[in-house]
Amino acid sequence: MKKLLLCSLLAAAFGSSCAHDVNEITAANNQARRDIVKDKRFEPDTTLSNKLLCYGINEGETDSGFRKINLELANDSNSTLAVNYKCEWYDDSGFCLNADAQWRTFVMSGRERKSLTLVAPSPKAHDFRFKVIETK
Amino acid sequence: MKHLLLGSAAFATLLGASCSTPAAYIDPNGNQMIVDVDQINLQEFAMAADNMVDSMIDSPVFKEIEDRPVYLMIDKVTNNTSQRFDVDLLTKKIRVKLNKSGQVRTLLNFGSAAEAEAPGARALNQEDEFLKKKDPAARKRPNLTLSGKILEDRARSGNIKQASYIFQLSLTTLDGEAIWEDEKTITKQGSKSRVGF
Repeated sequence: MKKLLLCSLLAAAFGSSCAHDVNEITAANNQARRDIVKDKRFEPDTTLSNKLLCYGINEGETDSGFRKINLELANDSNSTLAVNYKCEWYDDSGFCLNADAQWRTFVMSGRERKSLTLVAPSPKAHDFRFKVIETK
Repeated sequence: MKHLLLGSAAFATLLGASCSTPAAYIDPNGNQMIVDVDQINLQEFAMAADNMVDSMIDSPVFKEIEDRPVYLMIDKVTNNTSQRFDVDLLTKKIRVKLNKSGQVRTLLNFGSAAEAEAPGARALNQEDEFLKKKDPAARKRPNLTLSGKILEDRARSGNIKQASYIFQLSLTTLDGEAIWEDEKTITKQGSKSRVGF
């Protein structure tokens, strides 16, 4: 009887702490035309790269002529994932334009897909380096 | 008894020494900063400023203004939180980023910023107007003003505290038309402060 009680308590505790995954519905044929960027990756944290998937980087320009990118990210785990990110932008000579960029936090529910738009700090920005690290 | 006392004292000293953390320099833009639910931390002003500038640059607001360069005046940004801090922690970061972007120049001879930041320039300007009979109407005038509010919301469930800081900003033309507005909320939850985020 005691064992049964313990098991049901454990089950209840497990059930209440279990995160919910995100369901989504989109149009079967997306209307948006995307300018997809070919990317190169350096991923020493394989645990994070297994959880956080980036399945496309779309680029564009703001009305004022600043480069912007849109990252399509997905949390491939069942639990909530919190990451810190920042984007460094480089001019055409390879100089970093925003070395003092602040890490920002991005939270995704289990199996959630989210878009992240980043705008260059100057119209001189040519290249970007997106950095991501799992929160502590 | 003597040995026991000596031993305990030595153990306590050792324990104290191993638990303390010596002071060290850290990157103020890094993710080693202290996160505290009870107050707005430095990195949150930077996060809010970065988000606001991204949002301004992504909007067509600066393209819409025909007169170049765009002159910005810092109007009132009200701190409506329970804490005491200088709102320049937010506005200066925004100004620096906009200035570096080449989109905007800040005018310091108007508004509340003039007295605090450029009293010399303002005095010289007034002197020129008086001595050289310069028309005050010919003075550079801002195209836009930046104003806003910082708000706070708190909640608690048992030991867990939650604090939300809401940053609201508007860019307004001299006609009073708000041509860009945004709101950024930063919410923190926890029972005690921690190092790193």
